[in-house]
Amino acid sequence: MMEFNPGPISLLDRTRLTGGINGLKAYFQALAKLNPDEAARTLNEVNLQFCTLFLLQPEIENFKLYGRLSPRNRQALELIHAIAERHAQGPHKVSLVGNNLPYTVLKWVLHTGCGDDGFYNRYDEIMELTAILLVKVHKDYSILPLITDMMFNRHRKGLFYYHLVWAFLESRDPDSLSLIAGRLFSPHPKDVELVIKLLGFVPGFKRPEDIDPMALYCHFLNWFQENRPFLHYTGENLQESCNPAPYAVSLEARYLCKPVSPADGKLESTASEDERGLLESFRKLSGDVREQLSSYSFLLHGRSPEAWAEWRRRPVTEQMRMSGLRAEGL
Amino acid sequence: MLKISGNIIEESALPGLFPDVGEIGTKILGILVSGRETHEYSSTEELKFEIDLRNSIIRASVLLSRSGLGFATFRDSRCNEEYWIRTNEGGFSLKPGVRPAAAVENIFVNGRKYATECSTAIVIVYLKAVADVIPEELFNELFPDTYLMNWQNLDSDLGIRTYRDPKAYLPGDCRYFKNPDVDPLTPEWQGENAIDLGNGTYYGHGMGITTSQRIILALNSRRKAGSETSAYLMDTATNPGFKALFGQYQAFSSGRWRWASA
Repeated sequence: MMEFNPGPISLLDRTRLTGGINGLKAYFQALAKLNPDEAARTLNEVNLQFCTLFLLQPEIENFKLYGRLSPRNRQALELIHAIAERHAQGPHKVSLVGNNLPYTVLKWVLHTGCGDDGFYNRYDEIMELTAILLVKVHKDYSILPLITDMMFNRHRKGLFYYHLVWAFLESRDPDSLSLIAGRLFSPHPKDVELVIKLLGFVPGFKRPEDIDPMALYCHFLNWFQENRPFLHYTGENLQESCNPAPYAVSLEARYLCKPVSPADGKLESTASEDERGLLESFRKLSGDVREQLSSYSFLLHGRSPEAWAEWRRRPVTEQMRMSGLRAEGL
Repeated sequence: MLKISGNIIEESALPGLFPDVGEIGTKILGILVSGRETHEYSSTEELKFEIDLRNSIIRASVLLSRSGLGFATFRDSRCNEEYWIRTNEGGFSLKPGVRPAAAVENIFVNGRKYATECSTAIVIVYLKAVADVIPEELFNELFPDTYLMNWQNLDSDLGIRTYRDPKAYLPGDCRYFKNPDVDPLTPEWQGENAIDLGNGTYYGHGMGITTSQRIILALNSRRKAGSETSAYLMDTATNPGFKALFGQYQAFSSGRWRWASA
């Protein structure tokens, strides 16, 4: 994984942290007036944080420093400008800029900028769009813990966080759900509230008034461990539904005890002719019966693979009889 | 199949049971009675209430499309601050002391003072539709803490729920057009919530009243470069809680209503 800011804090970041935004601007203006090359050099320091570059945009323009900036800084400024103008100029310019930005620049923007997320509307927009680009275009899922932090911090502060949730879910990785479930142990009630909202699609995952976080976490874990091989991404998110279910259990896969691809829900290995026949009958069952039969299949497989293999060879009606289900829906 | 109070209702009985439900009402009843799935109602009044509310949703959609309501992402949303407070996340919270019914009505009267995304517009449609079919006194009692911001933080009395593979699609349903390959830098175009107006057209905020084909075309124009994956209409329907709202209405009408403010 790429590391950022492993060395000492840059001069301008130190000035910002000690003197605040006004102190930073006053210092930089004085420096740029006296020595523009030195001002540009401080901006180009490898350890500079994105937030400082963002704050000094007017000074960079006023002192005409753009041409002296490093490629990293120039490209990050291009992103800032494109996003600022996206509503006036339409989405095409921002797409052109954003989709062509080098991965390393996006990574720098997010890694060094996320700590200041939440301080200004347009800044936050840059953070979330950068996160979306890294996940959706560059398939970088190592940033999911950072996105999780930003999501929960924004929710705590009452800021807009839905696009971060979208970026997070678009990793299409069921294992990432544990990052959300872990927040059940947060001392902040707002964090727990968000966990309940995001994991509300897990059956029985209820509001925790009368249940302690550990019990709820174990409930999630049990469900997750049981269904992990059969979970797939649905694409549902907070924009389209009040009760989104971003992941669903493939009942067909659980019935055959074969894992699916989390990205699209297709069986990871091709179904045999025998299995295709079983699935044909299985699909004719009602939703409730399919749910119960697939559960039974999974449990039997866990208890005794031999008994399951024998059970699976029977016709579906026989399987239902053996599992105590009535043959409704056939 | 349609069942009322446990009895199967034949198509021939509909005009007698439901006179004057209009074109949309007739269409809804036709779908309910002819489908394979069973649609159950406790009384004719309950079904009549749902038909009235669905009609009201369609009327409110048309009114909102003509109101001048602007389209904006949550970061740039705006509202009339005489009635609402814009929150930091871009939602609209009812201003203390303002009557909910008056605040909702103001969006339709002064639409140009407001701008938001498509899902919030649907919630506005629902609130206006409910306000138009129940007494104002009850509406104000049910929705004193109204918060407008897409599908989240909704008043539980509105009972909004999304149904996957519903038994039937009916006029007044909110459908979702998904744009799976949306340009990642325009996440606001990842889909469109739209009300089925029952005549082959839909109302989607930002798109106006148009056909499903045109909504799909518009979403396709916001895909990432080179994508060949089309937007599509999903097999879901979102609706307010018709039965629960009827329960509240019935309790109010029969004097059994328990006033929260009492």
